[in-house]
Amino acid sequence: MTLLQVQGIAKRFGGLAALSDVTLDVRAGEIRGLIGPNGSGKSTFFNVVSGMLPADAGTIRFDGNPIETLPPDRRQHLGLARTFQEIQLFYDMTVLENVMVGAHRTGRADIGAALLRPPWQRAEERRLRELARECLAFVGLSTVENERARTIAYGHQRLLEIARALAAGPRLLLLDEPAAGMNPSETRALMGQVERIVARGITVFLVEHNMKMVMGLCQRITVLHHGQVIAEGTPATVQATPAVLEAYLGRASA
Amino acid sequence: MDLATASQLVVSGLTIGCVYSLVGLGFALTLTATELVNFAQGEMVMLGAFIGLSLITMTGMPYVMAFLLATLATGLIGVALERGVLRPILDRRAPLLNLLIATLGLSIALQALAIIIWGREPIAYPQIFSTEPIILFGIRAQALNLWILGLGFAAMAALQYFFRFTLTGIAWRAASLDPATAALYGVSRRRNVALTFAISGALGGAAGVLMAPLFFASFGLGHTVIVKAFAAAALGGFGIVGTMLGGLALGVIETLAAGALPSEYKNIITFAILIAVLMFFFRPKQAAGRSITETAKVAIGDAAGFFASRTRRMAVIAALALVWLLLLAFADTYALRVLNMALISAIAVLGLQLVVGLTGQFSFGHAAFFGVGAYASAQASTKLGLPALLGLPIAAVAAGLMGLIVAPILRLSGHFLAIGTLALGEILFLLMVNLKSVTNGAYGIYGIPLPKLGSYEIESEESFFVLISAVLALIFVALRRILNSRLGRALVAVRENELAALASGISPLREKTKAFVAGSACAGIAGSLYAHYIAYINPEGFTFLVSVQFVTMVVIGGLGSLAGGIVGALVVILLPEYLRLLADYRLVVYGGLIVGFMMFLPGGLADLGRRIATRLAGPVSPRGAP
Repeated sequence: MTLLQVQGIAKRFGGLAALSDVTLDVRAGEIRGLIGPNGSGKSTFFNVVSGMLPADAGTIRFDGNPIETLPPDRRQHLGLARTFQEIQLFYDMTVLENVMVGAHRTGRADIGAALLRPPWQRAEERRLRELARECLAFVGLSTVENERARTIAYGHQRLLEIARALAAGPRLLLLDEPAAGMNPSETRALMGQVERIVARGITVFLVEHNMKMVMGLCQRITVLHHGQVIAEGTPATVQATPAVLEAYLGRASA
Repeated sequence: MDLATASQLVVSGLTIGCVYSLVGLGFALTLTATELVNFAQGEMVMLGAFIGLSLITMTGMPYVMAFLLATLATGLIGVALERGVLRPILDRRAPLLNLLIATLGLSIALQALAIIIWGREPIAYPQIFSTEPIILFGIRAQALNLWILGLGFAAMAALQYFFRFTLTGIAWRAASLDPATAALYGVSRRRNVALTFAISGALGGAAGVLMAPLFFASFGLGHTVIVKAFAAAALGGFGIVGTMLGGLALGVIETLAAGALPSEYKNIITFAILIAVLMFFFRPKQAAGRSITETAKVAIGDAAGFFASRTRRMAVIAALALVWLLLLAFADTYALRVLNMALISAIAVLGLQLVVGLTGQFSFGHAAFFGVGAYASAQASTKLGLPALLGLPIAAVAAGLMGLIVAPILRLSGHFLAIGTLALGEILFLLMVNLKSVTNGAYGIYGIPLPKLGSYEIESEESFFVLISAVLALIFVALRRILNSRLGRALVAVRENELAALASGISPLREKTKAFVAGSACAGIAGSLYAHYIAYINPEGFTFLVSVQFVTMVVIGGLGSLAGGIVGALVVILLPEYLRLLADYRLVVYGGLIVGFMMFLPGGLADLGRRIATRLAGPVSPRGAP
């Protein structure tokens, strides 16, 4: 089943075509990869899919429904969660609170409930806290739940972002260079983490520079170059495509 | 309007526009070089006007000479303020709001100094030029206007020459674009910032000498011009040539509008133009991934260690209750009166704390909502004869509704939001002055009835103390509950990182609107209490300065801390009372204290309290679950 269907996406920044006519799909249950040299448009693509940037042209269907006109928060409500290449946390909140914010959409208490604190609101608060704790346990951050987010280690901050995204109970998780800045052993742990996320029934779409990680994890990979899709297929097919080698190694004929 | 009148209006529009351009350039240069909006820029105008006046009356020197010397003097004052006050704060990497408040503190102190030196009364410039009109190309103009235009254009041409053709000017542009790279080529950022303040100060002073002959020299001169000057800079996109043109255009539009419309709407139009320009051109295109309080120590929840123990918490509450009872029993009428005013302010400040401290949105128009509440409540009881206490919810709804109506302004962020809310507050203030059928204009509303509880009339200071304290306590508890809820987490998330909030399924604009409406409602409730307590209101109680005072209370108390907000209100209201002995120097010291707070206690009193509490708590481990 196709979970995400992206058709003919284009995005320009002034005179620069950051994305042109990008079409790809993500099937439910797979680990999907997106690679490309620096500046090839990978992060722009994720920003367009998650709604942080509007597309100039093209359609995005999530579970069959068009979402290209929805703001990012509405896309998250539909089950599309993401992390950022540059870590984005609520730095002055505790680790637990960060994840509870991630679970925001699963609650409904608003100002009235906050003021009157009916029993259902207290129950909801307990449920959100438990849900957040469960997500923290899942990524292995239970021991730091009361620390301020800014004070925990860099690798932990990356995991915290993943835990926050998971707390919303997403169907598709967009991971933007999750291994950036990690050493090889941290990267290996992260790969195990991604596999356990997929085992929970969450589809993962990954932008990554680390070839070992992408080739080792993804069933299908799309290669972007200058904002265009130049190859698509299994790790083996992609690696065997001459255009990909040219893009990365920059042969004179390219 | 015939052509001759129109062309004369254009000339006088260009004249005043020249002033806006010069002051606006000061804003544009500082904002470009330091990312700071310097509210003290207005005081450079005022100082320039007074210094020029003194030079002319005391030495009889020619106007042009006085213009040059006053410009030089304010340039030096600009550098002195940068060196002495703003640089130390910048060096501490204090949050933006602290810098804004510090420049406001400077502004208060400088105005108070000017009152000591030159007095409160506006002083007219001596008759320098002949009032005989000069006919130029068929347009009648005053010699004064031509001098102002000539000197103004000369100053702008000199500035343009400096930035285009001198090495220092080119280096300034490079360093403003990219300080790090410019530093590699030997351009010192510090020298650049000092230069910026020198030029801005000089431009402000120049504008002061130019505008004072038209409007008199007075200590409030700066305030009348800063918002318009900022509008000029915004119209021009904060570029140098753009700001020059923006100021001239604004001057002409304003003067033509004043010729066609009743004059009281002139300023409303200018402020509306400013808001429109900001909303169209200066709305952030993408959610920001950083918090305005990034480098601030922000209070969230309790001071962890100290209040971990229930006994300690109870002890603090008991101590507070005891102090409250002692005050009720033994404080004299005067002390209670001051306290009551402070507690009313505290209610409004709690609302502002929700907007600024918890949600991270600057608001310099809070007094307007305080006013809306006051008028709604006053009119409900005087015109409709409703009980005064019913005024509390009416005021909350009225002010909350007004907050909802203007909430789209929350699409702006940072400085632009600060200026936008400032302009909004001014518009609401001007409406209070001019919508005479609703507000009775500048005369205000007399004889606002006292609140009644059954047959008991709340009249004595003591009974008001009880009523106001009760409302304050209720609001404090309500906001604490909001803070510790799903909504509160969403608000703080928006403050901390809008980008991450969006990715977490939170719509920043919607959450900001909730906070703004609730915060405005708090201000409305405070306004209602104020109206029935004082029994007389007029628009003067709801000016920009009152808004500034509320923000000062928030920052001195500590951003994000509810208890801090209350303490901040007490300090800001009580302090000037104790400074009364200083007579005229009172406001100088007060302004200085605000600046000192921003320099030495950027986290506010809440941060100080937290540090003391942490020390007292000793080895007690922080509590586990919240």
